[in-house]
Amino acid sequence: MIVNLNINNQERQVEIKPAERLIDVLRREGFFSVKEGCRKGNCGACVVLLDGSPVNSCLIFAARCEGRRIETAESLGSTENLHPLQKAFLDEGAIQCGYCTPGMLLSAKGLLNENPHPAEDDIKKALDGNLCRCTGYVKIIKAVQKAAEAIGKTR
Amino acid sequence: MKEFSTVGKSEWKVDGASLATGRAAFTADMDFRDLLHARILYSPHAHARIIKIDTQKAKSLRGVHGVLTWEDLPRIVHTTAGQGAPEPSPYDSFLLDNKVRFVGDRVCAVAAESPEIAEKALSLIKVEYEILPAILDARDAMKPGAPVIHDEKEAQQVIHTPYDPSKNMAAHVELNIGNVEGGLAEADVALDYEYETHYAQHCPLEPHVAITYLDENGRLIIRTSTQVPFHARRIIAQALGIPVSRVRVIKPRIGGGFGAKQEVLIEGIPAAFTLKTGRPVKLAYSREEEFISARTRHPQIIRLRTGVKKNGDITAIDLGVIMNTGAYGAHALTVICNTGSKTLPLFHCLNVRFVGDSVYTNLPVGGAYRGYGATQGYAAIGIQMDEMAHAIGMDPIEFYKRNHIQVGEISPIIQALGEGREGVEQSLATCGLDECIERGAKEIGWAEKHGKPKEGAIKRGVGMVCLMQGSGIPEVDMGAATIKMNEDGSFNLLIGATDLGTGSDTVLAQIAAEVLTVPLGKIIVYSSDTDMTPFDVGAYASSTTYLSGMAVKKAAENVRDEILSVAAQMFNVSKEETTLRNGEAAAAGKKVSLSRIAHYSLYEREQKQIMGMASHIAHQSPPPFAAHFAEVAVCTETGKVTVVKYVSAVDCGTAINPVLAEGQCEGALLNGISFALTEEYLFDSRGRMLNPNFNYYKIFSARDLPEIKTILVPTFENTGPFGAKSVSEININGPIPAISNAIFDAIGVRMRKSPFTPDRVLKALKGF
Amino acid sequence: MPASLDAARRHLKAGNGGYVLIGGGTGFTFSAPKYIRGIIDLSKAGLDYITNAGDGIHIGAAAPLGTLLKNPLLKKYCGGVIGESVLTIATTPLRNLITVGGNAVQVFIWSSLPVLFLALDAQFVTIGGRRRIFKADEFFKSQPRRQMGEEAILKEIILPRQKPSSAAAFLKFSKTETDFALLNIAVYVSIARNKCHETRIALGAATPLPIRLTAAEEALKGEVLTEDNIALAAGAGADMVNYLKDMRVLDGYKKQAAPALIRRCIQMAVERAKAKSKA
Repeated sequence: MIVNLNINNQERQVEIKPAERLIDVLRREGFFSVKEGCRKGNCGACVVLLDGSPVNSCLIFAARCEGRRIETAESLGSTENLHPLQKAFLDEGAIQCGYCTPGMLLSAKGLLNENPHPAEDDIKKALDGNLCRCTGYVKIIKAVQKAAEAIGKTR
Repeated sequence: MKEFSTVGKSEWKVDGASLATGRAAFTADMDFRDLLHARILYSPHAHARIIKIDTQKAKSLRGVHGVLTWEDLPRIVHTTAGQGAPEPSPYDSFLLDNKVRFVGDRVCAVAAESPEIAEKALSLIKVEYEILPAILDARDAMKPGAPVIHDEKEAQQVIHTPYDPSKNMAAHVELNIGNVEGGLAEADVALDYEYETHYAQHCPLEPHVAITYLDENGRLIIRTSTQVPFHARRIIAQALGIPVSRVRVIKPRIGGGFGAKQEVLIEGIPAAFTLKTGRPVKLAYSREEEFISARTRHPQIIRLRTGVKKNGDITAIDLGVIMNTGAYGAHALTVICNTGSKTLPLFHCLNVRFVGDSVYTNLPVGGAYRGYGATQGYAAIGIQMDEMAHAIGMDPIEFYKRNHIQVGEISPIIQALGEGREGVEQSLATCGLDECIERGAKEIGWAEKHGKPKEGAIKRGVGMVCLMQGSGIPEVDMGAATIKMNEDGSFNLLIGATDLGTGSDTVLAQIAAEVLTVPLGKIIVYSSDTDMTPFDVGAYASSTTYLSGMAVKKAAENVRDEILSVAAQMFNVSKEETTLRNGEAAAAGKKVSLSRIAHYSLYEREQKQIMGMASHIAHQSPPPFAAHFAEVAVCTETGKVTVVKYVSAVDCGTAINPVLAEGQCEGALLNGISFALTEEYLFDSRGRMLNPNFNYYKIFSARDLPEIKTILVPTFENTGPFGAKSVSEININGPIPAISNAIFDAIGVRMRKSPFTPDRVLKALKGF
Repeated sequence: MPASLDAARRHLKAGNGGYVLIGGGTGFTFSAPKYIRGIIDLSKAGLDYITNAGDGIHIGAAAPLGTLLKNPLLKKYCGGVIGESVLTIATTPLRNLITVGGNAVQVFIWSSLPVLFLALDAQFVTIGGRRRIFKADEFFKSQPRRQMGEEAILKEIILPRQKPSSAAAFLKFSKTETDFALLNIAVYVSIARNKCHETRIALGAATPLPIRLTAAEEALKGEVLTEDNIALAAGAGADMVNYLKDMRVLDGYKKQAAPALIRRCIQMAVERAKAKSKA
């Protein structure tokens, strides 16, 4: 079957199998930032934004995303033009192996979409679905705070 | 403190921007034409002989391109432990065997056009087993009459060290210094308790994955998520019976390892399929496979006896360890060695005994895991030190200050106990432990909180522990680096060292940039490709910064020498008169840029490639030190332990990149806290793991994070690059003892068996 | 993917038992039925509303949990107890997938919302099955799917109108914040003349389905809500339960830990109710 997906602000017609998971379709389309870590919605490495909200792309059928807006980490910013979240992640040392990073950034973006001035506790709750085994989260939380400040200043 | 321009600065990771934008390619992030997917059939039995495998139906399934059983592969015994040759781990593994030794052991493998077809094919394979009695408790392994797990004739140890598979003994270690019984006799207080640590998995976010293919010359290319590309090349060639020259191992970005990937675990299967079919083959572990079939932290049962005098002098330490290595002996000797060698030297004590057995069981296989035996050792020693201090009424802080090793001391233990061989004599050159203790104590509020009466149902307590680790394996491990200069004044840094997310590419580039006096952006790093980069043992034993860092420093110094020679020629002066600063060579009042020098050298006169290469072997393994302080809240009605605050003060020498060094501390810490409180393997009565997923094996999320404070205490280690020692492992060792000691401070109960789950704590407190 | 509830019902009927209804679809990770001919996805069937009607707040079955957290009506309901409970379920990205209906219909032992719905005396409106409306006590008597009938679809959940001087609290006890509950407790209490007028106390994760702790309720009704009375009631409630074995903790643990947790949850609810009656 064919679905119409808006991936990173580009309309795409994609041929899929009816029970195909969104993660598999996205990776096949070349969006390799969407990582697989558990296949059960527990680790968050596959998180994408669906209509602006973070979801586990390993638990959602691509067919359900007809006409919906999907954002992956590729849409955030480029190496030359980093999103404030990406820059803050680099400044604060919030990236180690980087496998959780795309999902983590998107969950953070989902949070900032709704709550531009999150308290530390809000950040912890918003990131509770994105496991990281490298950093101990300390620098990730700080990076999200810094990014929120930076975005606030440009507004 | 010396001033540096790039070293000591929290530079962005050199691969940071590509990781942040999701563009960095991990093993699986690449399309291959005609890719086959391999899947493995695992044993449902803890111990069984394979009588017959019927693969007929699977082979005839459309889309299946191969089935491998033990009959299809050369029978070559080897170890999966990714260590230097000859490996100190016993040779007791085959790619596939006619016997299975734990639930999760490999039976056979399938390659098919899709993972779904491969799964389907597995379900069509019929295996007939002869079920054998199993050993599911390490205490039973060496009892007379116990089933023999490695009864195959090939099982052997290739280095000279005790090994007796007929008794299920995978390794044995023994050390005797002074007179332990005499020491215990002269003590005012003698302690004798048993401690136990539990199974855990590394849980890298990226499970093991490898893709193998043939290049146009028929060479076998292995793109794999490994910490040890050079050992992987050697061991895969060995296990497949092909020459090393036919194998190239490439490590792209990898999604964490923590020791799990210091194992040549999965590459052999897809490689065998590739050799058979000529097609690219991918084997990607699921999270469940990662739990049941990859490697784990070796559980240990430790009996520890110590003697102490009222004045605080430790008169004897007697450490007895039974280590469960599981069904195979990966790292069985070296991990247990470290249980003694990374803990006992921390203390002045003239009478020390250490006896340990690593035993085979029919349970999941142990392996390298951050901390590598020291974590288990500190779980006993770190608690008993607190018990000693308590027994003589001394503050643990005073007790540690009195007893810890000092600069200039030579530990007889380090000298006696290496990794699978004798150690080396080392005089301690740097130790920032006193400052770590003082600053950590202040940060946690030790004086106000420790030993004070507690009120209410939820009681708070503080606990502390001191730690050391090593920096690489002296006289064993080697790292090498090549640096070449380009005409724009940039440099290619080629290193075998393996960045598993730690930031070692960045740290090593900072070292090169410092020597060559250029900004970090001028260093182009390429690492871990066995065809392209020089040898390195890989990422383990906390060695990369200290060991590979010195190789990079030496290579960069060689390049600097060449640059100065060329510049001297350009200036028409002697090399000695020429200096290199801020990316410019200068002599006799004249200056010339690096790009000008490179141009000159590549195109103008006596053309040559300015380049340098160096190897480095360490003669020492200077220990980093740390003091850890935990504040906990213990609910006396539910037994729940919550870490409120955790302080780690760490002496890692010079932090080449402070933010990355802090990240190493914090990551290790949270892993350690999560291990101490919640992570555990649950087994049924037949040795099957009941919780092989993140639903029931809980690792901490951001929401569980306590307040964490990291304090870096600088020292300057002369044998390390710009004063650096190691930092990556030490901090995982603290949480079990620090939290246990804090629980004691809160509720007066000693927890000597990890993890400290609510039910165990409540049972210890109330008994039910 | 039906565009309306009626269309979903027609699909389900035509499927003759071969179709599975999904809200968020996350339950498949635990128990994927073996013989599925197809999936009927309710996400576009117009069931994601949250409205205030005369008889209480109506929550469409397909409303994702994430939207429950943001809804201003629910934020105010019983001191924010809905959010308190929803935040104990899974993680942020999962809460954007899991629906309130899915959480209520497919009850896992650790489920949070069924425990709360039981305490709040919520009602469940279905179509296409044996009957139209269920009280929580009936709905969770066995697996709701069995109560409703195979061909029924849960349409909405009605939270009763709040009474003055009433409040509720929810408490999940687990090893980590995102872990499945070891015990779940929900308490509803209303106060009149300084005494407990009404209370409903529910316990989850102890038995396959959530249960009312009637012994605790009876011990409190008509009594002054002192610390001692609350502790006695909590003990009586904890005592009446036959705790199911749980591989994650030692046998006997839940029985030990339950009284204190029940007591704390009652206290939380009582404090909120008292604060409300003062205001």
